[in-house]
Amino acid sequence: MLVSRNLKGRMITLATRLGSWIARTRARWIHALWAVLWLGAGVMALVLGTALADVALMMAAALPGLVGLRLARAEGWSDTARAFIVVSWAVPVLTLAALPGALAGLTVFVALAGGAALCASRQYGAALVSLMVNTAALSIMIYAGAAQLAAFGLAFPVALAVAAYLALTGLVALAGLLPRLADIRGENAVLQPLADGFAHAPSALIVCDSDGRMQAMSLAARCMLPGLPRDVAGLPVSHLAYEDEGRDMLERQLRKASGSIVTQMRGAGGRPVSLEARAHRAGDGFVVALSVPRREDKVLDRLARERDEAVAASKAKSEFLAAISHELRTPLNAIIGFSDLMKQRLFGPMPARYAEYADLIHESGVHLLDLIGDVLDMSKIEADRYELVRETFDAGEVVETCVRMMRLRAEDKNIRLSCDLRERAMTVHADRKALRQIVLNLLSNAIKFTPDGGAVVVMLRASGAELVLAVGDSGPGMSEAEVSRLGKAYAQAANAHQSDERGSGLGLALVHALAGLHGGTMSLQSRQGEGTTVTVSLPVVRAGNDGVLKSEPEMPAVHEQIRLAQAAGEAIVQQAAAS
Amino acid sequence: MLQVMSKKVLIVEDNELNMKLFHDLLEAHGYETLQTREGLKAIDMAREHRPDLILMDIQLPEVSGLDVTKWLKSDEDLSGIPVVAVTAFAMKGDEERIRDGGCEGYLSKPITVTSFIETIRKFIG
Repeated sequence: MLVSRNLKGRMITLATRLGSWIARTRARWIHALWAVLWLGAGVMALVLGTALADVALMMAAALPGLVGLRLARAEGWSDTARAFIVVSWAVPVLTLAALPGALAGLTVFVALAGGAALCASRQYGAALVSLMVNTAALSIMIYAGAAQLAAFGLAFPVALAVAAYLALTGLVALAGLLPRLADIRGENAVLQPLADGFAHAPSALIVCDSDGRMQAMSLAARCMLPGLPRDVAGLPVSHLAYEDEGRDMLERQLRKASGSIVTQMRGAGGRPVSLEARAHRAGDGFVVALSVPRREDKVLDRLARERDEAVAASKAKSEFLAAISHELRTPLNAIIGFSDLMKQRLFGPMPARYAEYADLIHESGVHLLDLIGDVLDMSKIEADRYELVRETFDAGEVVETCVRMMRLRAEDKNIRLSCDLRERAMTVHADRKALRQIVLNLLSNAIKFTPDGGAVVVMLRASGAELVLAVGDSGPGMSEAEVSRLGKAYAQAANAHQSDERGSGLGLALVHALAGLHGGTMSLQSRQGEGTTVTVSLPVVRAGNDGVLKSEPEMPAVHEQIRLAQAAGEAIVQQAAAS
Repeated sequence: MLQVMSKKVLIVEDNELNMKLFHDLLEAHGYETLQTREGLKAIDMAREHRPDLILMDIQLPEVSGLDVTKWLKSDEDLSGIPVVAVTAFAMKGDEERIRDGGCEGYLSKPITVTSFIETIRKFIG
């Protein structure tokens, strides 16, 4: 029993191998053999001196083989190819049928059988039909055909070709059927429940081969992706993605075969649907599980998308501002240039009032230019395009220069501007232009908001590696709400119509941003009626020649200084710009 | 006093107002001007009129003033004419880029009358 079971097993294995080999190759080989046999028969008939009409007939009979051979090279079998084959079969069949004698009827059977086997090569049912018809045809030939053929004068070549063809198709049919029968009896009993189980699995599953081509899809997966073609077999899994980006993500996920991705796939009506894909290895291939992302994943997905959009919009805004600022300089050149030309009386004197107007135009133009500069800097910072140019220099000197520049403006308003630099030389490694801008913006704000006769104090201290700069004023101060709004770019601009005294608010935002670029901070203390102090700390101080970072004494309370300055009616500390 | 022929300045500038400003300023200081709004014409005009200095706007509509300068500097006959770039590019590294492009001088918009005239005088007195 054991031996016989082994033998049976081996025979089934052999038949399966033979069947699958022929299934892979037979289309091409059958066509080749069919064509070669008929052509050979034709040549032989010619040599034997058969009538030319018969030779031509045999040559014509080779036609379907040649056509099939050509078409078998093409990938798959298209409908056109099948139609073409049927027609090419019909030609010799009809020709043969037109001939007198019993052979005609027989050939129709043969041709039909061959056509069935060739055209429906995947369907074993057709192979079975072919086998039956071939057997029937063979029987008829054995019993009745030989005499007829001999009488017709074509006995040898036709018999040879037909016999060879019959044998071949018979073999094909048998080889195809044997494993199939074994399947049906044995493996199929196991495989069918598996296939059914897969198809009806309560999960959306897709089986792919080692190249990531889809082989089968569970019904749940099909329901999730109703937009797919009926037959997905052979399509790459990336075909599921809605966009190119998703295609790449799916392919990467397949290669990685761990974790999961959420991406847009082709949903109902060609609309994108957000699905989670999780790939696992399965033998040589993969199985991909699809699922609707959990709610929080969806929310995160949406938030991420919205964040990307917001970042892009903000960037676009900054780029727009940069472009606009640039454009604004061109007319400003004319405004400043022509008013400058008038100020300098290049073309002779003019009435004093006009001269004053020219001054005002020039002054406003320069002011506008400063504002545009601030907007441009701010937009550059926001677009991450502002690059610090760090150099080593004396921060005290920069502060002194700025104080000197602003002194005139302070004096115009009768404001006491005092400068307290404990250490004259403070070596820092920072962007000189940025530091200058920080000091100038703080001073300009302080002077702008301080009423006539007030006081503004500037203090500079080193605290370890920190540069601490404080600018205080005796202005009206601000409410907490106002303070919380400050330092945000464009916040003040939105409310600019409320008060003539306020600037664009960009100055402080710029100070904040420039301090941030240096890794420093800006803080603001203010109380209504008591003035405002802005403190900037930058970690930029370099050790002196002795290699030691000096920490200077604590900075005195700025407000105390201001109060003293006002009360005493004099500058409290050294007048930096006395020279 | 000897009557000297006034020096000629070729202005390449596409903005009408700026063109007028530069012209008026130069005229007020006794310079003669030639004007064009197109970079390509600048080369022909330079060849024809041999100006003593070229004031070159960098942002021109078709070809960049920087390209025009490069062409001028690669022309044996014209390379001796000093080129002063005028630009609204006030970005870091722009001046360097412009000087590398062959411009001898550089003025950033908006100009001030004093520095404008000083720069011109530096080249052609």
